[in-house]
Amino acid sequence: MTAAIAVAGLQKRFGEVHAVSGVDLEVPAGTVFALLGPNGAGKTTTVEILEGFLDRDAGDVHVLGLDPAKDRRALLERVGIVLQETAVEPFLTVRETLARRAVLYPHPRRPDEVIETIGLEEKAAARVRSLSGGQQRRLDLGLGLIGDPEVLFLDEPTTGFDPNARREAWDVVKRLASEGRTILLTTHYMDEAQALADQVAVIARGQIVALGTPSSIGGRNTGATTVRFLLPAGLKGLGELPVPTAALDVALADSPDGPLVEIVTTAPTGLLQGITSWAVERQIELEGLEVTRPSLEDVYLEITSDSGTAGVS
Amino acid sequence: MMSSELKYQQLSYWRNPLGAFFTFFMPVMFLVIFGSLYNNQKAPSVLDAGGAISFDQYFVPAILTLGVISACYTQLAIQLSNQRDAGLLKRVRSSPLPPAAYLFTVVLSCLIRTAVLVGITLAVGGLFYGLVFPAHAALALVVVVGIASVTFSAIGIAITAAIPNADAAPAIVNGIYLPLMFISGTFFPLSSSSILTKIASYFPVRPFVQASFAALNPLVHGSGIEWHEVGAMVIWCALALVVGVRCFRWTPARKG
Repeated sequence: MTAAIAVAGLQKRFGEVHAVSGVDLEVPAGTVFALLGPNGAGKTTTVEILEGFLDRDAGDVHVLGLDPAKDRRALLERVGIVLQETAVEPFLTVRETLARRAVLYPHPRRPDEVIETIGLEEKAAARVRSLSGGQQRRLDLGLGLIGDPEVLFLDEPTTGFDPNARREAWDVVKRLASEGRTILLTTHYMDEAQALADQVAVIARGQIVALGTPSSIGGRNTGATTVRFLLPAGLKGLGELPVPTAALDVALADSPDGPLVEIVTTAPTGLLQGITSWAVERQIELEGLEVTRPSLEDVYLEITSDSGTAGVS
Repeated sequence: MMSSELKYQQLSYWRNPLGAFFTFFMPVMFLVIFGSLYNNQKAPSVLDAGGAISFDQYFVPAILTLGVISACYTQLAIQLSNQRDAGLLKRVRSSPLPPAAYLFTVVLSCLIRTAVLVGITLAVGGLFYGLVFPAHAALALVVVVGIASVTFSAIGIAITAAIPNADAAPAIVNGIYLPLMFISGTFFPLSSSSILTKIASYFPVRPFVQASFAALNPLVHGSGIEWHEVGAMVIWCALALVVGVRCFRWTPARKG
């Protein structure tokens, strides 16, 4: 697979602030890549350099083989850009807004087709100012799609959406990804990255601090797993469980339903076998039994916890 | 591509009825006010250029300049500042439309506004204030007002580069225009030997007022086009274009 987006050694400073200090990333064509990070980590700066809005101080940047700083015009015909804040002309209708933009591209999509994609069929003839915030954001997304882009940049596309609107927007993004487009997404929502991305990079203080698939990033797949269940009635303490308490991280926590056993292990399979066969033999039901890996959010918080923010978004 | 862009800019403009209303009726309102203040008076002696003309023949073109300047310069600078702050101009720069093409259509939109505005103002002047149209008026007005419209649009674009945010726009834009308006003879003729007039002649407002007055002055012979004044506007237009092209910002000021 070729890289639709390739960045090496990217640096950008605003005065004294190093917004981006040495970012490398590669997005294979046809994949969805999520850039995660706290406010001020350098997400938007990185994306705006890729879009050609900002000049870089150092590094190599290629989008579809073009340098955004030099070949911006040619690039703009092949990429779609959805900026962080929604902005749409209030006095035009939805269809007019899309038609106005469509004529600017060599091979645009039909406005009505895009209206269907963004689910605004009923509002096609309505003035933009009468749309809700979520609908305006979807129209903004539609403007990013009208040129039938090979690469789509989505900067925090669902910030401020209610849960329903977010699910709808995710469906649109998934559909676009299934059409083979490359999508670079920034977000601070872990579930959004989890739902949409093939690959996730965490950026903090202008650097990529973790990179991987949503299920493996930060050692999620190999890291510690937590096994929890309520202490079975009649047991006095942890010592009576068939668990080598010395070797593992075992603790008893309070919970509204009674004392909760929490065991952290890197080898959950054998541990579960031991506990469950012990319980089955004694005909004990392990209430509240659950096995959890750290969520993407846990990993994210751990990765970014020691990183301050630079104060530039 | 540009004709389509122009069409949608026009649609967007005319669908905001309040904005359009004030653009076109402000000059009419001033005509009514000044018409009743100086009802049928003869023009002050400073205008005595080989014969007396009615004061109406002076203040209609003067008020016309006020309308054109607020439609092109004032409103355009405020509109562009608002659009820049809202992120609409950044959207334009995320499309393949060349930036110069966008600004060109913006100037064309101002020319269309100006044509409508001039039509209304002259019609009201002719019907209610006895404005006389000398033979040279039509061509002279097209040349003078056309060049002025482009010039003041270009200045509107250039001044937007110096406006930090939309909240500051009206203060900056009016803070520059209002003093010039008064010293340029927009509301009352000023002697050409006055110090204020000398200062004003270095700025583009007075040349526009003088050229408009000449275009409608029945005592002027020839084309009615004051090339000296028109030339002054063209120089300002060129300056504004250079500043506009070099300094125009498409993105809102960075936060924090």
